[in-house]
Amino acid sequence: MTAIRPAFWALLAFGSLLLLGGMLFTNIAERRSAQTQLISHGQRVVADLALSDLALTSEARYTRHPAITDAVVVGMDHPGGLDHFPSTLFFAPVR
Amino acid sequence: MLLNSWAIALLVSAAAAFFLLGGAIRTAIRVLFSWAPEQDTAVQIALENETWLAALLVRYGMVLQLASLLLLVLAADSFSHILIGAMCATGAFVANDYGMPALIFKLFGVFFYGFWLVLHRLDIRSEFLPLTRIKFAYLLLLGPLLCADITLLVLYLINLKPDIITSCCGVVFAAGGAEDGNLLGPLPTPFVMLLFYSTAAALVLLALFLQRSNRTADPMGGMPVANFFFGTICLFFFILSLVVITVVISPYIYALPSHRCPFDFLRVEYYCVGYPIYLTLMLATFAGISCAATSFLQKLPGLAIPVCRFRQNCLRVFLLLLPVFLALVSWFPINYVVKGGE
Amino acid sequence: MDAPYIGRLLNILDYALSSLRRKLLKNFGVFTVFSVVIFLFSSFQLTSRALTEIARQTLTTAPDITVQQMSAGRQSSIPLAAKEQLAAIFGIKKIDARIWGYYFDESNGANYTVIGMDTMPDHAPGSPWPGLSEGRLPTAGETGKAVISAEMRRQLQLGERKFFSLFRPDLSLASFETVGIFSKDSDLVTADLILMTMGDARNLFAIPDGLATDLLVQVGNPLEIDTITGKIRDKLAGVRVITRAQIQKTYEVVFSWRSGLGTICLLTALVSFVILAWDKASGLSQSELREVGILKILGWQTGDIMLLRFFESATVALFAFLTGWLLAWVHVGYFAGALFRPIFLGWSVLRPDLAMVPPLVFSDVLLVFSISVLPYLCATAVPAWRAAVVRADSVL
Repeated sequence: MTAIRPAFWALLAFGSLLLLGGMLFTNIAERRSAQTQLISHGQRVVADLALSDLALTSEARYTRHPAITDAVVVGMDHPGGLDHFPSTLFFAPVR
Repeated sequence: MLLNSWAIALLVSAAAAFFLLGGAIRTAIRVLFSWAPEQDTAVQIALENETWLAALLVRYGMVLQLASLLLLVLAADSFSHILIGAMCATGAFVANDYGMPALIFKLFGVFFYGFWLVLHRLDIRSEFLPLTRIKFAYLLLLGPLLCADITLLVLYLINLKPDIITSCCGVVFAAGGAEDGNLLGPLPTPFVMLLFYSTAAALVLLALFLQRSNRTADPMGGMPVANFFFGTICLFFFILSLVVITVVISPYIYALPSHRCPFDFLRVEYYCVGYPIYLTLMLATFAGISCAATSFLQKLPGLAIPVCRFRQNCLRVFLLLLPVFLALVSWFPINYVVKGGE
Repeated sequence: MDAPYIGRLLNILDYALSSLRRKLLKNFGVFTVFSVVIFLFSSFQLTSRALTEIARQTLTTAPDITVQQMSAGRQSSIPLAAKEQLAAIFGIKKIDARIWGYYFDESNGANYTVIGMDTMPDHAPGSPWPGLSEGRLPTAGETGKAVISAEMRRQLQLGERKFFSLFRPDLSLASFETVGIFSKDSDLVTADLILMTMGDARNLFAIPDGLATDLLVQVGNPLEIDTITGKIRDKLAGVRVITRAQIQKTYEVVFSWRSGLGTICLLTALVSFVILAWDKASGLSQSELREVGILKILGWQTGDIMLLRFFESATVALFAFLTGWLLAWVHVGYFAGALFRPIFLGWSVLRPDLAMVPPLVFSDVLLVFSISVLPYLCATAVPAWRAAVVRADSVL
C-alpha cells in the first residue's frame, strides 16, 4: 500500500498522547520526590506543635479540625442550623 | 457505603451489565418462542438479526463483568483502608457475609458469559445454526446469575460499615482458621503440593492425548469419557490452584511465612505479579473446560469440523498457558529454596 | 493469530478512522464533551487521592493520644486536675496540657487557630527551630509574644510592623508582638496558626486557671496506645479520647465519602453524556444508511459492520479518556485543582499554599475508566447493531 494508512496516523496521535503522558509522569515523579522533603518538614512541625489536622480550610471548625472536633452534624450550631459551609461538600462526616 | 466512588463505579457497571443482558434476554425469549430456521418470514429474518445484537450485548457484558471483577478486588483493597482491622482486600471481603459470595459469583459469572460466547461462535460457523435454541436457553440462565450477582454486590456494599471491626488475611487464611485453613488443616503441605503438580501433569498428558486423538480420529466421534474427565479435572485444578496460591505460594511471594493473602500480590509492591498468575490460570481453565464441553457438540449437523478446529485451538492455548502458570507459581518457592531464603 | 485475521481487523480499523474523519464535526463534539466529563471525574479522583496521601504522610507524627472533656455533646475545657489522675497510669511517658481555640477576626472575616503551649518545641541551641522562616519561638516565661504565618501577616496587613492586637471576650485588646514567622514549607499545617505561650492564650480566651482545652498524652510503647486509651476512659468521666490511628483513619475517609457525593453530581453529567452519545449514534442519516447498504453489497457481514462501529466509538472513547486524564493531571498537579479549590476552601479567608502531586495509581485509572468509558461503549452497542442490520435492498 502506497498511501499511509489512517491507522498509522491514529497510532501516531495516540502514541504522542502517551508520550506526553510519560513526560508529565516523569515531571510529576520529580516533583513528588521534592515533595517528600516538604512532607518531612511538615512531620517535624506536626510533631513539635502536636498538631492533628491539615489547614486546608479554616471556615468551619469541623473542616479545619475534622479529626479532633465534633463531627459534621446537621443542626449542631443551633437547633435547626443547617450544615451550610461549601467545604463540607468535600469533607465527610467523621464517625 | 453506597456513596464511595468505588461503590458507585461498581454499581454503574452492574447497571450497565443489567441493561445489556436484559436486552439479550429479551431476544432470547423471542427466539425461544418463534425460532423457525426453515421458514423465510420477516419475523425469522428479524430474529436472525437480533441474534447478532444478543451476541454483541453478551460480549460487552462479559467485558464489563471482567472489568467489574477487577474493580471489586481493587475496591476491596481500597475499602481496607477505611475498615477497622482490615489491612488488605481479604479483610474487606469478610467484613460481612456477602463479600465472598459476591466475589465468587463475579468470578464464575465471567466463565459462564465466556461459554455463551463460545457457543455463539460455534453456532455461526454452521449454516444450519444448530445451537441457536440451546444458546438462548442458556442465555436465559445467565439472567438469574447476573441478578444474584448484583443483589449480592448491593447487599455487600450496603452492609459495609466503616465502624465494624473485621479480620484480615493473617487471621482468615491462617492454618486451621477459616475455610481454606480447614480445607488444608489436616493435609500436610507436601501432600497438597504433590496433588497440585500431579493434577497439572495429568492435565497436560490428557490434553496431549486429546490433541492427538482429535487430529487422527474421525471428527464425528468425540470421546465423552476422556473429555468429561478432562473438564472435571480442569475445574478441580482451578479451585485447587486458588487454594494452593493462597495458602502455600503467597507467603513465598511476600517472603513472609505468616502472610497468606490471595489479593495483596496484585499490588505494585509485589510487581503486580498477581495479574499474570490469575490471568493465565483463568484463561487456561476456560480453554480446558470449553474444550471438554464442546466435545459433546461435535455430532450436530455442520459442526464437526468447526468444533474440531476450535478444540484444537483450545488445547493449544491450554498447553501454552498451563506451563506458564505453573512456572510463574513455582518460581517463588524455587527461588526461595535455591537462594536459601532471604 | 494468523495474518489475514489481523489484516482484516486493520482494514476495518482504517475504514472506521476514515469514517470518523468524514463525520469530523459530530465526532469532535462527542470527543470534547466526553473529555470534559472524564476530566471532571479524574480531577476529583486525583484531588482526593493527593490530599489523602498528603494527610497520611504528614500526620504520622500527630499526638499519640488527645484527651478532651465533653459536656452536652460538645467539647469543653478539661480540668488540669485530670492530668494528675492520669499520671498514675503505667506506660504514659508525658502529659501536656494545652489551650487552643479559634479566633474570628471580624475585620477581614478570617478564622485563626490560636495555640497556647507551655513547653515550646526543642531545637538545637543557636539554630532556630526549623519550622520558622524568620525570628524565634516565644520562650516559656514571656508574655505577649506570638508566631504567625506569612499568610496571616498579609491578612493582618502588618507589613513590617511587629505588633497586632486581638480582642478578648470582654472586647478589651490583647496586644502581641510577632517574634517569628512560620516557614512557607509547613503552610499546609500552619497557615492559620497563632502560636503563643499558654498564659497568653489563657489571657486571650479568658479561660480560668485550672482549665485547659485538651491534654496530649505521649505513650512510651506505641503498641500500648489502645490499652492506655481504655484506662483513660475508665479514670475520667465524659471524656473523648482520640488516638493517632483515629486521626489518620479520619483522613483516609474524609476525602472519599463526600467525594462520592461529588461523583454523584458528576454522574448526572455522565448520564446526560451517555444520552447524547446514544442519540448521536442512533440518529442514522440517509447517507449513513446508504453507506451500510453499499458495504453489505460489497460483501461486509453484519459482524464486520458492528466491529466497524465499535472501532469508531472505542477510538473516540480512548482518545477522550487519555486527553481528559492528562488534562486532569495538569489541572491537579500544576494548578492545584484550581476548579475545585473554591469548594474545599469554602469561605476561608486564609488560603494555604497547597501543592498537590497526585501519584499515578492503576486503580484510579481503572475507576475512572469503568465509570466513563464502559457505560459509553455500552450506550453505543444498540445503535451499532441497529445500523449494522440494515438490509441492503431496503436502502438503495
